[in-house]
Amino acid sequence: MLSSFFVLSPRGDTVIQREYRFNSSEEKGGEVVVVKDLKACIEAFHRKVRFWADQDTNLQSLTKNNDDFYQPKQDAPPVFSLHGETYIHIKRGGLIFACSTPYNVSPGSTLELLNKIAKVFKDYCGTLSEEAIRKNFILLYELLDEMLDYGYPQVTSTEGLKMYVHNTPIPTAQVATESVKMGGGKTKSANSVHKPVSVGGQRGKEGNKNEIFVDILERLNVLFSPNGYVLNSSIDGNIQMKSYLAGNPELRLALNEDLVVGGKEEEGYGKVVLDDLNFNECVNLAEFDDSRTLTFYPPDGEFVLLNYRITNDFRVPFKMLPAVTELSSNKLEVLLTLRNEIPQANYGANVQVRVPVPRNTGTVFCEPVGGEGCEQNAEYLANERKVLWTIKKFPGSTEMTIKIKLSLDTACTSQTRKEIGPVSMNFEIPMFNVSNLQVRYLRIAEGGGKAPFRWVRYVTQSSSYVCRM
Amino acid sequence: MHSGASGVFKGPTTTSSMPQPSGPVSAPPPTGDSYFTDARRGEVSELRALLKTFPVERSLTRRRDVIKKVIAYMTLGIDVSRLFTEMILAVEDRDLVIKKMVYLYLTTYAQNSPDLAQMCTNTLQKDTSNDDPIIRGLALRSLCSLRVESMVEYVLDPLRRSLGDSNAYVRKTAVMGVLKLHDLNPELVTELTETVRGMVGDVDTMVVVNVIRTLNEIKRKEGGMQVDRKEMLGLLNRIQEFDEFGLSEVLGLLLKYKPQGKEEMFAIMNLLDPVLRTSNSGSVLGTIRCFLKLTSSIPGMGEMVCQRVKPPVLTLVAGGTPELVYVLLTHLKHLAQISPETFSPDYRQLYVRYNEPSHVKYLKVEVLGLLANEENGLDIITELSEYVSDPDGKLGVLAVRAISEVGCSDRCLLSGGQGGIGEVVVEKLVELTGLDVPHVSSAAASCLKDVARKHPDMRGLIAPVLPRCARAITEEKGLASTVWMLGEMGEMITEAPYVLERMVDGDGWEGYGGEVKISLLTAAVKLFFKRPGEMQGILGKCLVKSSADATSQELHDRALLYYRLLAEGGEQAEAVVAGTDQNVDRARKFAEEQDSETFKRLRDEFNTLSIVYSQEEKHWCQEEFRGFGGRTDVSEGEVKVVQDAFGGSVVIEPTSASLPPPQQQQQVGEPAAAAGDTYEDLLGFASDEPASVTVAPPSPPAPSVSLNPNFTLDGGSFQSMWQSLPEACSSLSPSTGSHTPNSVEDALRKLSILTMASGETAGEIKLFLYCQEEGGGGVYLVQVLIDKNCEPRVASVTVKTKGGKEPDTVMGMVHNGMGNVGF
Repeated sequence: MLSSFFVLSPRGDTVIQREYRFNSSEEKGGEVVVVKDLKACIEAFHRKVRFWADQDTNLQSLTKNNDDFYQPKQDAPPVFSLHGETYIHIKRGGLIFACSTPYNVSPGSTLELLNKIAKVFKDYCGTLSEEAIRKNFILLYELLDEMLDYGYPQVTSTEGLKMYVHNTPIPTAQVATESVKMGGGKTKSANSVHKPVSVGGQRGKEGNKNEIFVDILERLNVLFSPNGYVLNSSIDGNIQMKSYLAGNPELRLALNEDLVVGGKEEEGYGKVVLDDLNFNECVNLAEFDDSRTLTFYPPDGEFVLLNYRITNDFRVPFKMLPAVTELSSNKLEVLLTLRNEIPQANYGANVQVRVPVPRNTGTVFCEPVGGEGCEQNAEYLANERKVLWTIKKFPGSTEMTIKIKLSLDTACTSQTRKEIGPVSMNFEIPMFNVSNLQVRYLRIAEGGGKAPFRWVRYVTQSSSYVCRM
Repeated sequence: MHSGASGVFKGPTTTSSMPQPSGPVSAPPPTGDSYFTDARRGEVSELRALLKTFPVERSLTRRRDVIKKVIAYMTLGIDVSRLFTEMILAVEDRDLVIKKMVYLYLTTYAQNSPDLAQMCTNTLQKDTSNDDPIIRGLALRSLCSLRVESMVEYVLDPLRRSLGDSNAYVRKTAVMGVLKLHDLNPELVTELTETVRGMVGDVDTMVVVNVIRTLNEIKRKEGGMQVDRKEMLGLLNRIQEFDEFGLSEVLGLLLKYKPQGKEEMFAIMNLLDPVLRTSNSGSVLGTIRCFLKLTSSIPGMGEMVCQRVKPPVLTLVAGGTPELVYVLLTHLKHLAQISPETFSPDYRQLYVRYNEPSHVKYLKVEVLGLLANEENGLDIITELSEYVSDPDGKLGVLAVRAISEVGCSDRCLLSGGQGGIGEVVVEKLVELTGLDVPHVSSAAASCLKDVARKHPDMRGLIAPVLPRCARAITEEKGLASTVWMLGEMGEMITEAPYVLERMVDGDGWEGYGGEVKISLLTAAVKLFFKRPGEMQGILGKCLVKSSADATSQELHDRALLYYRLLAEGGEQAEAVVAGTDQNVDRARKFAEEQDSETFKRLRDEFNTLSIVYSQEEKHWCQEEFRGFGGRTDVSEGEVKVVQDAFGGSVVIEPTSASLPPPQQQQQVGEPAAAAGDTYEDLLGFASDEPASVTVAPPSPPAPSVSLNPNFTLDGGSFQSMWQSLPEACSSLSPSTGSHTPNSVEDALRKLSILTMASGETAGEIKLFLYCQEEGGGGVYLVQVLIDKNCEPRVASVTVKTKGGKEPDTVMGMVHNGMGNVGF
C-alpha cells in the first residue's frame, strides 16, 4: 500500500507524480491538519538521494578527514526512511522511479512493482527517457491508474493493460542508442529494438512483423590473483526475450539435453552444469526435468525468461598477467599482459582496462606494446588516478600488452604498492558464450502458421572482471 | 495546435496558429482578484478560454489536446483548480480518452472544491450503469476517489450494485471502493463490508486479492482478515492463478493460519515450493517467510528451510538489479544468522565486486564476517584484507571490523590459541595498526581492543605493538583504545609507563579529545596498581591535569572519583577500577552482542522493511500504520493468556507412537511432536536428519499410588507452588469422546485427585488439580488442557510435585481417570 508514486528526471524535476493517501488530512483533537506535502517531501527525498551521507557515528572521523582519497563515495540505498515515511526507489535510464509508504511493506515486492512499472512504461513508450515520458505523460497516467489503485498494485502486465488503455504512444526520435544503456546494461540486441508494443486497434498493423528476439547473455565475475590464478569466478546468465509475435502463440524452447542443475562438476563432466536457475512466472516446467524444454506464452514486450548461475570452474576468456617493477625509489613500471583465450573466429569488443595508480603519482607514461593493426589507445585520467586502455577489437587467441611508467612525487613505500590496482576490465564478446548453454530450438508449439523470424544471439559480457596487483 | 501535441510542456504559445471560433485569446480577460497577473495566471486564463471553445469543437484531436494541456499543467504542479467548472462540463464528452483525463482532473481537485464536485456526481453515477464495463469501472473508481465526505451517500448505491456486477473489473474496483469509503466514513460501510467478506471465493483472483486487502485494513484492529481452514486451503489450491502481488497477499493470510498438524504443514510447503523457482524476489522472500513461520515451532527446521531456500536466494542475488540485490542481501544476512553453516560454503559468492553500489558492498562485507568458520576463515580474512585499503574509506573500516568479527566469532573459537583463526586475526589486526592510513589503523586498534577482551590469551601478541600504536595512531577512537589496552596489559610492556608519561606530560595533552584523556586517566590508575613505583608520579600528574581540565566534565568528575577512591585505600580502589575481567568465558557473549531476542522477533517480520532497518516494526513504524506487515501478535496474545494463568510455562513433551500427528494443534513456543520420517522427503532435504527432535517414551500404564481423599489446598499456595516448582512430567494423549470440565472433575475426584480450578473457553477446557500421597507424603499439582479444536481432541497433562516420588504414576492415574469419560 503505497502513499505516493513519482518519477524524477536526472535533474530532480518531477515528471510523473501520483498521490494515493499521502496528503490525507487528519483530525487530531477536533482540528484538521494536513499531515504532509508531497512536493516538499519529494524535494527532501531527492536531496537525500543526491547527497547521501552516512549516519554511522563511528565513521565521523572519516568524513572530517581532509584526505579526499578515502572519502566514501556513497550511493543512497534503495530503501530508506525519512520523517516516518519509507522511500523506495530504483534508477532506470537516468530516471528515478520512486514510491513512499508509512506502512511496513515488503521491500522486495515493492521493488518488483517499481521494476514492473518501469518495464510497462518502457514497453509502451518504446524507450525509457525523460523525453519519452514527458511526451507520453497522458498515456502513462492512464497506465498508472490501471496499475495502482489506492496504492495497491492491480493489473501490472503489459498485455493485461492493453484492453484498458486508449491513448496511443508518441514515438521519440531515437538518439544514438549506444549512449542509452538501460536495465543496468543487461540487455543488448533485444534492447536495440526501441519500438513500443502495439496498443488497441494498432495490433493488426504491428502484427505483420511477427518476430522474436532471444538473447543468451552471460555476465562474468572473475577475480585473478597477482600471479594470474583465478581466485573466484562465476557466471550470471539469463535468457532475455522481446516478442512481437502475431497472435501470441505458445512457444517451446529447448535447452541442452544434458543440462545438469544443482550438481557438482564431477557429476557432469563435459556437460553444462548450473548451480541453480529460476524462471519467469509464465513458464510451464512440466517437461523441463525430462527433456529440458520450456513451454510458455510470451508476455508482450521485453522479459527475462530465465536466470541461471554457475560457480564451477570455466575457461576464462581473458587472462590478465600484471607485473610491477621498482625502477628506482620513485619510479615504477607496470607491465600488464592480456591473453585472449577465446577461439580465433571470435573477438572481444570494446575492451576497456582500468589501472588505478597511487596517490602520490606525479607523471604517467603509458603505451601499448605490440598489437599493431588493432585500434587501441592508452591514456592517463589524472582526476580519476587511472590509466585507461581501450581496445576496439581484440582478436581471439592473441596477446596484448601495455607498459605504464610512473614517476612518484615521494618515495615508493609498501603502501604505494598497495594502491596500484586492482585492474578492472570491461568487454563484450559477441556470438560467444562461456558456459556452452545452448538454445536447441525455439518453435511455435502447435501448428501455428508461418514460422516467425527468430533473432537468437549469444553475448558474453564482463560484470566484475578484476585482477589484483 | 498540432505542434502543441508534441510540446505540451512548453505552454500554449502557438495559439495564434489555431482557428478560434470564439474570439481572440491573446488578450485574456483580467481576473478580478489580481492586478498583477503573472505569467502562469495568464496561462491558466488562456486555458480557460480554450476550454470555453471545448463544447463546440468538433475535432476529436483538438478536444483531446485542450484537456491534455490542462492535465499537463496540473502535473507540472501549476494550480489549475480554478478551471473546475469548465472541466466538469467536459465530463459529458463521449470520448473515453477525454473522459479519463477529466476524471483524473476531478479526483485531483475535488477535495479543494467539494461543492462543485457535487455537480459531476450525476454524470459519474450515470456512467456507473454504462453498458461498457470499462466505463462502469472507471466511473466507479473516480467516484470513490473523490475523497469528499459529503458525497459518500451518492456513492453507496452504485457501489452496492457494482459489488454484484457481472464484470470482474467492476467488482475489483468496487471492493477497493469500499475501502476508500471506509477511510472517509467507517460507519456507512459496515453492511458493505459483510458483502465484501462473502466475495473471498470470487472466480476472479484480482477481486479476491482486493477483498483481502480491503478487509485487512478495515479489520486491522482485530488483526486483519481472518480465514478458516476451508477458505485458506481453497486459496492455496488456486495459488497459480494469482499474479505476483496477489500471491503476496495470500501468503500474508497464510501467516495467520495454523495448519492442522504436520502433514498439512508439509503439504502447504510443497504447494508453495514451485514459487521458489520463479525469478520474482518478492514472491520468493514471501514464501520463505511462510516457511519460517510454519516451521517456527519445530526446533531445527529453520536450518532446513535455509538449506532449501539457499540456491534460489543466491541466484536472485547473482542476477538481480542492484536495488533488489541490496534488499535480498539484508534478508540473506538474516538467514545467515539463523543458520550460518548453511551459507558458509558459499562465501565466495559474496565477494565484493568492484562495480557494485557502495551499500551493497558494505552489506557483503558484513555478511562475509558472519559466514566465517573453521574451514573458510582464512580465505575470508585474506579477502577482507584486500578491501581494507579501498578508496572508499567506509568499506575499509567495515572490512577491519568484519575481520575482528571473525576473530570474536564463536564458530572460529574451536581452533583458538596457537595457529588458530583467532591468532591469525590478531596478527592481521596488529599488522593493520601499522598501516599508514589513519582510519584503517585506528579501526584496527579499536577492534584489537575487542579481540583482547574476548581472547585474553592473545594479549602477548598485542602488547608489543602498543607503544608504536600510541605514537602512530592519530584518530581519537583508535588512540583511546590503544591507551585503554596499555592500562590493561601494561605489566607486559617494559616501556608502558613511559609511553603514558609522554602522553600525559608532553605537549600533546591539550590536543587530545575527551575520549583519549579519559582512557589515559583510567590507564594510569590501572597501571599504578601493577607498577606503583614507576607510575606514582605519572598518576599524580594525570590526576592534576584531568581535574583541572575544563573541556570535559566527565573527565573532571572521574579524576575526582579516582582521587577519592585512592584516598580510601589502594585495595578498595583496585577492586573498583581494575575489576575482574581476567577470566572472561570465551563462549560468553558481551552485552553488546546479546540481541538474540530482537533477532528472534525480527524473524517474524521477515520480508518486511524491518529486516532492511534491522529493527522491529514497533521501533520505527508509527502506531497507526503498524500491523500490516503480517505480524501475528493477536494469536501470540492468546497463547500468553494460557501461559500466564499461573505463570509457569507449559511445555508439552511429544509422545511419539501413540499420537496421530495430523490432528495436533501447534502453539507458539511448543516443541511439537514429530514422527521422525515425515521430515525426510517432503521438502527434498535428502540426508539431513532432524537433529534436535526429542521423542519421549510413551507413558507407562502405571499402578496407582494411594492418595489422601481429604487433602485440601488453598488457591494462594497452589499458585505459588505452581510457579515455583519445576515440571516433573507431562504428556499428550488423544481422546475421542466428548467431555465437560465437570465430567472430568467427577471422574478424577473418585481417584482422590481434587479440583482447584476449572474452566472452558471456545477453544479449550482447562483444569488445575491437586492431590497428596496418603499419610502426608508428597503433594502433586496437575494441569489438564483439552484442546477442542483438534479432532480427535488432544489432552495435555502436566504434573508438578513437591516431595512426591511418583509423578509418572499420578499422571497415569489422571489418564486412566479421564479414560473413563472418553479418553
